[in-house]
Amino acid sequence: MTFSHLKHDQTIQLSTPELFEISHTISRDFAPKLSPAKPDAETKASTLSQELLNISEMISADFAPKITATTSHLMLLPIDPEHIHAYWHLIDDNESTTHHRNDASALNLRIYSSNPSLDNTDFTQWIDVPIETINSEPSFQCAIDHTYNAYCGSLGQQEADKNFIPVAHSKEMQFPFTKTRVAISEDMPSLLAPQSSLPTLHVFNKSASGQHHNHS
Amino acid sequence: MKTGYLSLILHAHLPYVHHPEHESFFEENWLFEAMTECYIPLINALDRLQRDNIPYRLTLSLSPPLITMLRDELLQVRYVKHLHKLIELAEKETQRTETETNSPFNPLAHYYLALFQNTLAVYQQYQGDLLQAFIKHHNTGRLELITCAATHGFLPLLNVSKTAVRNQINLGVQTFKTHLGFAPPGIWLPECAYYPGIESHLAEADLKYFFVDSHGIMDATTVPVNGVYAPLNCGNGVMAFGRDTESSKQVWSSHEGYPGDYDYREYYKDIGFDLDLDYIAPYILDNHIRINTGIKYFRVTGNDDPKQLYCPEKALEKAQQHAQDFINKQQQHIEVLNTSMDRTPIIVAPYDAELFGHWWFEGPQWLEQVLRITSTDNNNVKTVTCSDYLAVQKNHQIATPSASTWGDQGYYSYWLNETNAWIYPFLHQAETDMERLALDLHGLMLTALQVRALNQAARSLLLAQASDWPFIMKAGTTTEYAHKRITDHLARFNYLQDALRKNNINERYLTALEMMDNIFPDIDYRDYYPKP
Repeated sequence: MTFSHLKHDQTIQLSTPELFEISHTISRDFAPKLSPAKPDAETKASTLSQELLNISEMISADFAPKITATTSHLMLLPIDPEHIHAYWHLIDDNESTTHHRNDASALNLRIYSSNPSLDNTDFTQWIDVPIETINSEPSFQCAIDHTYNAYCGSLGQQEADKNFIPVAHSKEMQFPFTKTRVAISEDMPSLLAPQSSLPTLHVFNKSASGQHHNHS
Repeated sequence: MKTGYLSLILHAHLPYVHHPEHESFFEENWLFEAMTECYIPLINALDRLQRDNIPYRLTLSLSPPLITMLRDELLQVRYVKHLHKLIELAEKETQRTETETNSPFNPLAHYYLALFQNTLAVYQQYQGDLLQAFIKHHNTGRLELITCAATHGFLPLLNVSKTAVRNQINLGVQTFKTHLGFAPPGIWLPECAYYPGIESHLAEADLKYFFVDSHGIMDATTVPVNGVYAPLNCGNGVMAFGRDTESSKQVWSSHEGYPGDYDYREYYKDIGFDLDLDYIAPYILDNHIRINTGIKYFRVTGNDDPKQLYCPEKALEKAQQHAQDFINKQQQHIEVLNTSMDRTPIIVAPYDAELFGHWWFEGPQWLEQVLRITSTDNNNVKTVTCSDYLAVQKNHQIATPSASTWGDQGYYSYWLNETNAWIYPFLHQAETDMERLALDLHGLMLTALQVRALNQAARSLLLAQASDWPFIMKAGTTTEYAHKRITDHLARFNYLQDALRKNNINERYLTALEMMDNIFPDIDYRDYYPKP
């Protein structure tokens, strides 16, 4: 069986097994990694048996080489009115960073907040969150004060002399949630407010496939 | 009696599942089940309403992955094969249930045989192109069709790049136009997920309206004077309509909602699980893994076993009663709202299209009955689309809704939590890489092969961005498949990027990827060139 495509070269015909093999090969050799480690030609050529290949895949997966990003960075993502998520990549570009990675408990995630509507635009407020799991899970979810509507963050070390030495910075994140329910209950006729909380979509076990709900 | 508007919206979406590298693929059944149980029953209902000249108004959003799959030749052929297999099983059931012991099931076996035969006949009537059926009803002026984002990406968490969001929206509109032949007036934001600022992308795409959950309206930047019963103008002319809590609960809730009625068909009792393995083997996965077949003989019954026999006639009667109950409640609600509002209220009731028929077997019958009742003169509920409403109501309160979704807890946590947070560094990095690739090659003379590779890289990125994968990871259903899909698409992206940068494109590999991820034929990688 062969397949057609709107724009592909009609002179090339591929069978189902060929498509499967190409798909499998690309997924194996180009699995996403923060520091992609692509097998070189020599390695490829040496994989003479399926067993060797399996070993190679396992090693590639378990011992991925170091991150190729050129700079350390930190990303903040909103979750809900009380929480944000942070993830980061650090590179060993100086002694300080290396020291921090070897002493994960020394690292802090500092989250700055501002609220332009309160004439507070300078990110002078912050909270520090100690990061103790940096080597195993470079991401973190933390609670925040929702009275602020913009955040940015730094990952760094709080020195004994109170100096904070950052190693990665995030961009400013506009916090998208507002909390005005108190005001609404005072200003709006109660008839127009929602009568009850919404059922979640998932109470009906909605999913892309119902098969796994059955007789589990 | 003052009138109010009711706007019913069905959001039809399934993730893009297309595996020509396998002779058959289990997850393609998601589409086949939805076609059999949801889309074709919906088309049957709309055909009957048209036949009886019922002046209903209904909105259906069609996601680009669903649009693409409904038009895909390979999936069309496989669906016919799937239907023939179902018919074969139903025929076998009519014989098995002829024995004295199984005779109570015999009428139902014949019912399913007729149902599947009718489904095949309808599919053939539309030459295997269900979009034609929806276009036909759109052309009568009764059905409003709207679009969705390109691959149903969860836009608030892709918003670290404006280009990512812009391309999801613009390609959603472009795909809709290509397949349906006209521009969509509105959009269903994937997962009903809104963040302030997205309206600028919607305006660029010439979209007039979208939907938010009720708290998106209630927590807007200024107090919404009409609650969720009038849209907000986001400030740039794009309108946000809010989901009504009560009408949602009446249909969605498994406890308080209609689908849990004891006379309705029980989803969780299927012959794929109940009959002897030897007998059912040819109709289940790999001849030994039990799955739903679609033939179910029991009704919900209640919490006590044994389950009672399903009676389609009684279930239809109950669907009609529930439709009347739904309208009665809307009438009461509208009368109350009219005492507080400065304009005619609009109750916005959006649902997943796949609820109707798949989870709630009688859902399409209920919907048809609701539309029939509202077409009569003896009630104060008038069905409208959002376009209808905006045509008659010109002045709207200006405010920006709050970020929100219609998922569990109402915000982003279903798509960003311990089960799926790992995907976002990869998605964001791939987006950055794609934009850098487009930027690096901007202005250079490229070969046709390079252009194909760039376009395919963009397809891989978009397919990785689908919200379905983090959703499934959190739901814990087919997590292995979701994980594989994301990593496969990112791997394909990495492969293509590597091939382009090394100027070493293997046309055979590229062709294979184009065949497997055969979506967005008119995509243009230059759209990833960052714009201000």
